[in-house]
Amino acid sequence: MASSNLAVKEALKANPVPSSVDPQEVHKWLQDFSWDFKAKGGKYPTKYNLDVNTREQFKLTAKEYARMESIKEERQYGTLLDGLDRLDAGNKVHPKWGEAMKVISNFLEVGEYAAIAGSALLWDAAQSPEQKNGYLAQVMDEVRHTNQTAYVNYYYGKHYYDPAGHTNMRQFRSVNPLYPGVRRAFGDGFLAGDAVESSINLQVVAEACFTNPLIVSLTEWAAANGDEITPTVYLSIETDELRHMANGYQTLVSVMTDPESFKYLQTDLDNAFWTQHKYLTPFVGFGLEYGSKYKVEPWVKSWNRWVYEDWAGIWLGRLQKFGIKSPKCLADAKKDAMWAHHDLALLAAALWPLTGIRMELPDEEAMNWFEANYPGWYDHYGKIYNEWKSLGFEDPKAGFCPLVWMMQNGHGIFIDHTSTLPFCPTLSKSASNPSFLEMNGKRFAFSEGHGERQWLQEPERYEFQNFFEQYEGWELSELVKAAGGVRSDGKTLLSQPHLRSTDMWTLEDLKRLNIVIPDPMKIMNWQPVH
Amino acid sequence: MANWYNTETRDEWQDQINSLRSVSAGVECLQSFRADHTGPDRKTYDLKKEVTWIESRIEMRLGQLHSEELISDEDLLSKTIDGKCAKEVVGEWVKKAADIDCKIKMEGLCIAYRKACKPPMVPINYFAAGEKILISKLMRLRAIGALDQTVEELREMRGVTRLSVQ
Ligand SMILES: [Fe+2]
Ligand SMILES: [Fe+2]
Repeated sequence: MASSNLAVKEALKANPVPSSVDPQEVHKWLQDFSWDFKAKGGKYPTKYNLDVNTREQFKLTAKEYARMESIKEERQYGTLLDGLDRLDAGNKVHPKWGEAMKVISNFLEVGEYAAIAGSALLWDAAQSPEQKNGYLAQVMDEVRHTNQTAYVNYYYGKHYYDPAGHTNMRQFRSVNPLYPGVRRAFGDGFLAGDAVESSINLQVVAEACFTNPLIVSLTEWAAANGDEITPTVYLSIETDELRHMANGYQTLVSVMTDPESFKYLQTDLDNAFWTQHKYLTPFVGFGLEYGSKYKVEPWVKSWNRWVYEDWAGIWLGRLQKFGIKSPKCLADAKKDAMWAHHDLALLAAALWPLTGIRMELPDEEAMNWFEANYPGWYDHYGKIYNEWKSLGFEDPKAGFCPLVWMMQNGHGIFIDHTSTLPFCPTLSKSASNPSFLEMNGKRFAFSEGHGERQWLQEPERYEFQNFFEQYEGWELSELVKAAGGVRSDGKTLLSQPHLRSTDMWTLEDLKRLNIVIPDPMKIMNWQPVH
Repeated sequence: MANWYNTETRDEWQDQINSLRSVSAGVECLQSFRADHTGPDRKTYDLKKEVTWIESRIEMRLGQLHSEELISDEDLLSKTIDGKCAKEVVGEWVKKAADIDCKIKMEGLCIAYRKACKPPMVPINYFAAGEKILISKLMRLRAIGALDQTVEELREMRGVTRLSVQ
């Protein structure tokens, strides 16, 4: 039985740590360092045989690594704490964007945290010392990123005029129905299951495919909306990503030459792509386009360039000669890139008391931009937003709640069991093919076929209690209060349906709506289809 | 005020768990709890999200009772909770897997193994090593041809019922 701790101790005994920090000595030590396991094989299950001779393409030694990272840290924290403080950067951010960052940076922190464990899982599975070193460097990077994403919320909490939410999103997100989606894609996706599948989720799809549209686009949108904080931090994160993409490439190379291992690769690639896309495509698009006042490039265009052309075309194209194909679900993902984030935005607006941010419905200028870039947007979404506005969406005294409006108009909200995201079959414009199933006395909802397949193949992997199951029977204001969703006065809500400091909703206003959370899979008249 | 991390259901179970006085009573409690409330083949989903919390409390109590019995450090690491040789017990499960080439059968074996052997039933050093072998095999069986099976075939394989709102 291989004990990793013991193996580390034995390796250190064979190669004692250098007696100084002399760069040459450290360099030599690292080159000689090998992970000397008596018995090959890590702790966790995998389908694959990882090649013992794999080379790490990215030959960064610790002396270069540490020096480079410390300079990046100095620049980043120096800029934030000196230059940007004096320029009052925290208050130059457009409020719409300052609110979006409350969820964006907090949700991404989950990904960075899970990436620490994911890279460590790969360290455990890899057989070649050089490959292990590559993953180990990533573990260190991801620790850094976890701190950085949290620091964005911390910095905003100190310097932005409305800190509520930046300060306690880790607590409040537990009741946000959009939050389990990030846990599914980044949490489970990065660190649970086969180590190689985790690598495909994390490095091959999330990092090589999505960090370009995610982090590069995000910084562009941030800067356009007056935010100098996010680019300072996120671009510093992005400079580490090349190393992680190289790790993903090495994972593939280490298993591809073994015909036995190669048989499993395509299945994992398809599943990982769908898992990551299903969350990232709507969430990022929603964050950028609905969280901003000043618009940059439409999400669908960025997506097509980075995901479709650059990643699926060029990056995966290089692997074609080995027999790797682009995922079967790519065509459906492309449809989603056009509409999925608009679907999510509508549900986020309907669920505003649970988001923890102040969220304004699109104004006329935004509506024109949406219609110009997504023809057909107004007739589908814009009309609904205008109706909500006229019914008193923003007014705490009007007693209007979009959630009730949806139920009354026959637009049921369900939670997709695989991706864990909410969906509304009657208002969805993205690739949707809902199904409702019962197995062993429990009912399950699915928004589309790829996720349903994933669940049917590995049901125990997706055990999860959704928002409705978890909070069924709770009165909404009680739930918000219990989750820490009130400001320091003890009554005004963290979440607001507008950006003004007047007419803010309180717990009392929410209570008057008299919403008791139902479980749609229970209360509706479900019958077997014959 | 009510919250979601301290519920009546948990309190009731905690009382019941505190009243366990012997390893044999603890083993029985954990076995029946796992049969009724865990895994995709569970008898009921009534406990919802409380399942993992309650299971962990039974495991903790049972682990405590087990260590209070006069057993040696050596036995804690090498014997099952009912005194059998952990290596042999796990070896039997691995042997059972050798002839299986059907993913549904393999899945059933993995679920049964977890319910029967997850600590403190079998020490973690043997349980985890055994599970790694079993799950690696399940993963291999599942991945082959996974993209070619249609949703209809998969639904039939799982015996699910389709529902619609009337
Ligand atoms: Fe990262
Ligand atoms: Fe990364």
